[in-house]
Amino acid sequence: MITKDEQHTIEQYLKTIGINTMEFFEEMYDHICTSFENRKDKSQGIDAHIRDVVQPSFGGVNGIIKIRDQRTKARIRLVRKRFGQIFISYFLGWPNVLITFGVILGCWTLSQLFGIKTLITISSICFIFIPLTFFFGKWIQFWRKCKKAGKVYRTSEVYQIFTPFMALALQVPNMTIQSWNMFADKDIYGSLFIHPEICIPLSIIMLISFFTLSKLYKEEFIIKTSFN
Amino acid sequence: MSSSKLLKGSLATIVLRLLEEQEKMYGYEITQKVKQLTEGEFKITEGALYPTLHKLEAEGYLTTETQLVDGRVRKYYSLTKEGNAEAKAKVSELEEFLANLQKVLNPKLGLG
Repeated sequence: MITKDEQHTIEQYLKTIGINTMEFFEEMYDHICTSFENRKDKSQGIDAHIRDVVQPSFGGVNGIIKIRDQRTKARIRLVRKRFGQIFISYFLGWPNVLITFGVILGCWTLSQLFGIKTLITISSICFIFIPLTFFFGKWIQFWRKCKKAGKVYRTSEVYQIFTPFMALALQVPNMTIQSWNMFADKDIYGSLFIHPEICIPLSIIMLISFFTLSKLYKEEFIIKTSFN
Repeated sequence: MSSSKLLKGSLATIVLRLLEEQEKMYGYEITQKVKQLTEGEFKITEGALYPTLHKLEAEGYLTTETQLVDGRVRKYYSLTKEGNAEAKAKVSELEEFLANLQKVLNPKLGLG
């Protein structure tokens, strides 16, 4: 069995070399612990084991960093591909028909009932503030869980991968609002029905991106904290 | 070409083959299993093994699950349905290659 001090040394080693996401940290940590427990020379200390056995087999610190980066890249590539597949299947399928119908009907009905100002406020809350709050809320929740469990890391690679997608998806509502603004002579609330040929397609893309992200989140981004 | 370079080219096949037999394995276990099967002749470095495992996982051939072992999280890899088919295809491809290589290296044996 491995002592508390030895565990601490391994944790600090991984932290120092920049392994700070749950998935890769836990895998490396278990690997080093198992390797140390099964060492041939039982008189060998943890520092010497890391220096003489672990580091050479990984190709040094740079080798470990390279594995981490390759892993993240492979996962981003996979998620990007999946994002494209879901987006196209929604865009060329029934969801697009329903969304287009819903956007036109929803915009018309809501603007007639409550006015364009309320319509834009509701859209902003639904498609910008709620996803952002959900994303950061989950992140903070995870951060607190790690802190409570006394873990050295504070994030998951899920958040690292999801952040660029989140930023990309938020650009669509941003563009929609900017185009409303641009086509209405600085009157953000007036252009939706003056230039529907711009605003309706952008709103549809925005909604398809939103539904794509929510499906992707369910498929790929469910975080399992296996330490508690 | 050194034997380690030859081994690196066949690493994905070795991993898939081992997982086909063992159902689920973790990284350290794979390195030790190869060492044991080849009586220390083949040594898979972690620097080559983990990128292969992560690549196969990203391609959908492997799936992972975690278990708490001695208070730490252990990540087990196992084959997916696609991984099973890929393992069979890769092994037969390698066997065919070795048979052909044998014919080139030792033509007399091939004629028999």
